[in-house]
Amino acid sequence: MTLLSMYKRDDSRTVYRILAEEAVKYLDRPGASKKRKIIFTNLARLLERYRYDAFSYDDAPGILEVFKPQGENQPAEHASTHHKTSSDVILALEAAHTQVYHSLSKQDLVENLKVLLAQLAASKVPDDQNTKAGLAKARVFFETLSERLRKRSA
Amino acid sequence: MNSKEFLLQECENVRATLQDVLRHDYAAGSSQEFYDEFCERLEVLESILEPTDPTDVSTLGTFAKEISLLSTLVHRVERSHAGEFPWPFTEYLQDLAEPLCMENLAQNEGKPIIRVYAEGGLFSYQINLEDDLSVLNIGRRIFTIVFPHTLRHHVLLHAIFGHEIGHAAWTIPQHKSDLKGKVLEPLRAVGPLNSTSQATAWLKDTKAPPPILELRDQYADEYSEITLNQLDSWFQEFMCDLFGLVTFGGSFLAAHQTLLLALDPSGHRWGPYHPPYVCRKAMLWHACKHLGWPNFPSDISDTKLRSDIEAFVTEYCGSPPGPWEDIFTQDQVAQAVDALKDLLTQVGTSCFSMPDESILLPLVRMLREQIPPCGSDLSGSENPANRNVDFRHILFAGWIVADELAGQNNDAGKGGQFLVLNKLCEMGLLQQRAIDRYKAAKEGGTS
Repeated sequence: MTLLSMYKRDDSRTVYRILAEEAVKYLDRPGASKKRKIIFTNLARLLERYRYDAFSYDDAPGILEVFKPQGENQPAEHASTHHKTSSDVILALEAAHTQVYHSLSKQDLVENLKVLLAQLAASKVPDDQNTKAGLAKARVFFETLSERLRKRSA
Repeated sequence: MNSKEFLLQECENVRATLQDVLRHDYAAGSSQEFYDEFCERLEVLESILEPTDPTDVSTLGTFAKEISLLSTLVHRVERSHAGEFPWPFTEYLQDLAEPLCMENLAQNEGKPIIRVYAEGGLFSYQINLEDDLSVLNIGRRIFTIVFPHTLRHHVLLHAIFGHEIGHAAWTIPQHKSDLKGKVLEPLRAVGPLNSTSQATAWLKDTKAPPPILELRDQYADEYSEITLNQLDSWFQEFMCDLFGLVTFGGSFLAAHQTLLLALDPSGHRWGPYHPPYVCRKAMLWHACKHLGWPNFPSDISDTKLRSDIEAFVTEYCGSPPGPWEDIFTQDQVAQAVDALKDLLTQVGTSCFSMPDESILLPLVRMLREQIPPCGSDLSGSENPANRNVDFRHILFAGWIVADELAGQNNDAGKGGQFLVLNKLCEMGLLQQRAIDRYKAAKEGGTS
């Protein structure tokens, strides 16, 4: 027996709340670091999923696992995480999208934000009014996202 | 020591373990990338954990999982050192998988790092994909490919990884969207698996084959109903089988049948994630027919080779399926296969095509003479004309000869012969890799 067993919980709400909070910090204080690269990369991944509505998470079992006998190690998290959809994150994204970008299409929203995140990660943010306005709006978007997720986390 | 202090200490332990695993020799390629990525993850985790309020139990619980995942990852990679897996095969597998698994992200982050290790019994063929949304801390995704330890040099069986490539592609949002719409949609449109109620009725069909009736009688709880999640998983498995067929070709068919029937000789069992083998085989039969493979032997002029390929086709493409397991029409499968080939071609992953006789015959002859099969010119010429050979054709040749030997009875023993054949093919892949690199360098490409 293992030392402890717990029902698997969906941590995506906490994870994306942390990431959105970190993004807001970096938008306030631009600069280069490895940490921000990872933060922005994971947010870009989230946006890609949002664009294609690809939230279901399938922890693919091995091709022969159907035959696995009792007693052989089973992947610990299969049963409860299979087809997990992170619905809280989806709802929070949709709310932040509508509240901040109104009728902008999902496609355009994701493209705009991904370009900004890439510029921030590489510390190559153009010094023009359009970009500044885009960054300000992105900041509100991530702040809204983190607030929505925090409310659900509480 | 409180939770936060313990977790920070565990970060140090993981870092120390990472330094420790560096004592091994690793195959050239992604070790540096792995090391850099791992260190970055650890640094990010520590930097976010440090200022966390020790009473923020939700966040600390998330960090505990993150650190445990890093610990598991470093343990896996410790087992991926040279000698533990057939690295020439793995390099070819990476070439196939990388363009397909490239994420649409800025800079270098979209390219996965692929590591391989051998662990566990026959059931352990798997690819771990880092696809969990609730994971905080991933720069580049690290895919870990797992071989059964005892089969680590059985490259002919590793063609089964064509199936796992499908699972990897499914984790890329754009591919997932395309696969759902273009590959799965035709398969799901009609037939007994069109809905959970129809699927359940199909399983309970009184005309189902006797093994199905037996399973239902014996294990009523597990074998009486199909849920929606189960159906979704089954279709993903069907799709991944098509990936295997289209990427690895004949060697996938043979590995698929050999491994799955070895573990479920009746071919009728199913589970929460996997449909019965007989249905998968029926779908593959339609797919082979669509690809024209049953007609391939007629293109071969060498009598012995033609008869060997005919035997291969009969054994692995199979015969028309029975009515219960034949759950897709020819048209459904043809649409799915064509859509999949289009997708693979668009991203730059090459599909399998049957080899010319001029390629296949020398490979088969080399194997019959116990020479590693590859594009080496063995004519004795002063200027040897080595040539490029698709690694999948080497595996295909291996299976043709494996079946030829299986039909013979001699003292060496069939199992032993199969192992020798695998080792020869592994050596062939190694030599072919060298030829490919030499030719690429000579032609001014990267090596």
